[in-house]
Amino acid sequence: MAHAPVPARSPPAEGHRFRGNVAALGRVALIGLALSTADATAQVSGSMSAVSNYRYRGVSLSHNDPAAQAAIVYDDPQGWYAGAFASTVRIGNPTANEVQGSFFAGYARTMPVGATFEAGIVYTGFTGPTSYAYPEVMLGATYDRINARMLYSANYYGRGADAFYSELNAAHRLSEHVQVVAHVGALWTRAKDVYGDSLDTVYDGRVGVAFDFQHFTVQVSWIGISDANAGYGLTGVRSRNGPVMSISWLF
Amino acid sequence: MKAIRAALVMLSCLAVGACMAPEKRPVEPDATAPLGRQVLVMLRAAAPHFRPDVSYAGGYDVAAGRAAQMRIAKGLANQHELTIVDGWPMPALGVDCFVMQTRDDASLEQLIARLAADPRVESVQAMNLFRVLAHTDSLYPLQPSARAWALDDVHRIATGKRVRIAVIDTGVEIDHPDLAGRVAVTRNLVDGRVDVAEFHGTAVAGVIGARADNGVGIAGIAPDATLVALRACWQPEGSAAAAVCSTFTLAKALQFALEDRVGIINLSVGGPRDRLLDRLLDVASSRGVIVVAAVDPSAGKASFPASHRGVLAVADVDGQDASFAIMLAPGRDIPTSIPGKQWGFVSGSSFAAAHVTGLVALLRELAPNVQSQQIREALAPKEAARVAGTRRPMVDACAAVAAIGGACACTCAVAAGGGAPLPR
Repeated sequence: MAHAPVPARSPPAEGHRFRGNVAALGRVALIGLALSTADATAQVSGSMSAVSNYRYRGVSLSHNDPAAQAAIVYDDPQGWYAGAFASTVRIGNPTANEVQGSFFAGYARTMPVGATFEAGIVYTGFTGPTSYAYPEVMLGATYDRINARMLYSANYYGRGADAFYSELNAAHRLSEHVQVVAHVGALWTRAKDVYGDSLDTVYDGRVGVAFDFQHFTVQVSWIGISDANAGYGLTGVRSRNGPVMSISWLF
Repeated sequence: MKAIRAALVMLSCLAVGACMAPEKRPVEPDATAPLGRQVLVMLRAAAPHFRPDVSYAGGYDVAAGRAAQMRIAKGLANQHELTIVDGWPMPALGVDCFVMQTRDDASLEQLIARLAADPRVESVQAMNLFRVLAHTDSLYPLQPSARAWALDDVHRIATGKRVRIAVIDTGVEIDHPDLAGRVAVTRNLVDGRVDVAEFHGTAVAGVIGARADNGVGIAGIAPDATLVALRACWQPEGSAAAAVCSTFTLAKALQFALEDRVGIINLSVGGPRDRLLDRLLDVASSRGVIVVAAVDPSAGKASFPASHRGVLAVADVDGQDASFAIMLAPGRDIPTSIPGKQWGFVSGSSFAAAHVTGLVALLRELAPNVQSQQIREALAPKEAARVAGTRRPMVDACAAVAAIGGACACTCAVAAGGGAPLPR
């Protein structure tokens, strides 16, 4: 069933407040670096990326345009981790360039049989439409190159409605430098003003090829979503199914 | 958006540059001096977890943390005056393994002690050398050893279908007439060359899985099993049957075999006990992978990896070790494939192990979930099968197939415990 696009929401005029969150992103990075020097056994890694279209759970958060991204992650030897991720976005007001910041922390442990279990929290916010901010809790398991994860938010995109997102990810290495990656996800939410009046579940999928060369990873993928209008209330744009390219520098 | 587009183009150029740059390939290791100055340094790898960067598909990608591991490795190398030679992720152990070489003649023992005390290091050990276990003396007269196992009868019941076997050895000649189409995956874990055809690996692969009923050559013990040829050993110039491997190359091969989900691993090599390989073999056992290893006749019960707990240790019929845990299988005058699209005769416990590997593939076809201990019991010959004057009987293929498959494999008399004809 087709769904009529709903008008894009005007971004709340609270941009100045969220500039503090951007500064917080920098602080998280500094804290991570400080921790890495304080504990020689800890590991700090990160990436800087450019993507041709930032598709988050199938929905374009960049108005189907390119986006720049950066992340830093701290891993301690006991399995605790924390990190921050930032991406340029164009949501709410499609003419305004904003920044999404996600802060995450959790604990991951690999069992003797080779499976890894994790639990964590994620907080996502935006400059500009600060009311879109929402926290999530997360459970996941990874075995070999297959990963399953569930995330729950009680206030998805600040709409006062809860949402479950389940995803299954897999990778198969074809050679030392080439691997095939695949992802399927399902979002169930009661935030109907965001995801449409009669939508209960929106599915998204991705299949692609990743090339690893020294410190660079290049991915070429095809991304699809079961309803192109999903998220229109947030983004003001239909998410077209199609190819996406990303290039990441890993450090 | 223009700035982002520009960044995208710039990063593309950088990535293409990285792709185009000639990649540093490890040279074929010298079998003697350099490896004796190398140590293996294991660094803890972070457990895979959620991270929204790098891959939309999740946090399973080991590449994400490798740059950070390399930074730690470089710090260690600078502090301890080492040179990083190579590195390889080993997610089966939750570590990244780095090969480092001393720059001077400092004591290796002292260096290992210093590294072991460094909190950044998960574990450290010397690089060990292993050698393949083939006899290098002249060939013996033709003697079709496989007949002792009544292969014609056994192959009517099982041929190794749907069983994946990792042959960790020297390079296999994959276009040999008896091996063409039999090798599903090849990986060279020694250097960057492709399609390296070497003597020992080609011979072992032939014994295990040579094509049957193709009108030429031999029939492997498991002619329908899927072979995964992992080159972890290399033969020195001018010495076809002799070949060596290192801790590092064998560890890489074991890691690959685990990722490839093989059911059986053949290790026709022997050397000193090795901590890193010990750990990987434990992981293999815990995942239900059957490991078959050749016994080094000069090392006997101390032969490694044959002596590792859970590994099926196999010697050829002339083996000297008296350990009762060792199985005997045909290993003398074995006709098999050799490089150059030829056939020749080989001897040694390497090929006895290859026989048992093929036989285990037949048993796993009959009972895919059969465990190592059940296979060991099925392969252990009954007292009645012993021949007067010999210390140990040879593995009885018919009885093993009957025990696991629950069917009369060769003759009902054999299934009842009479035993196959034993070579004298």
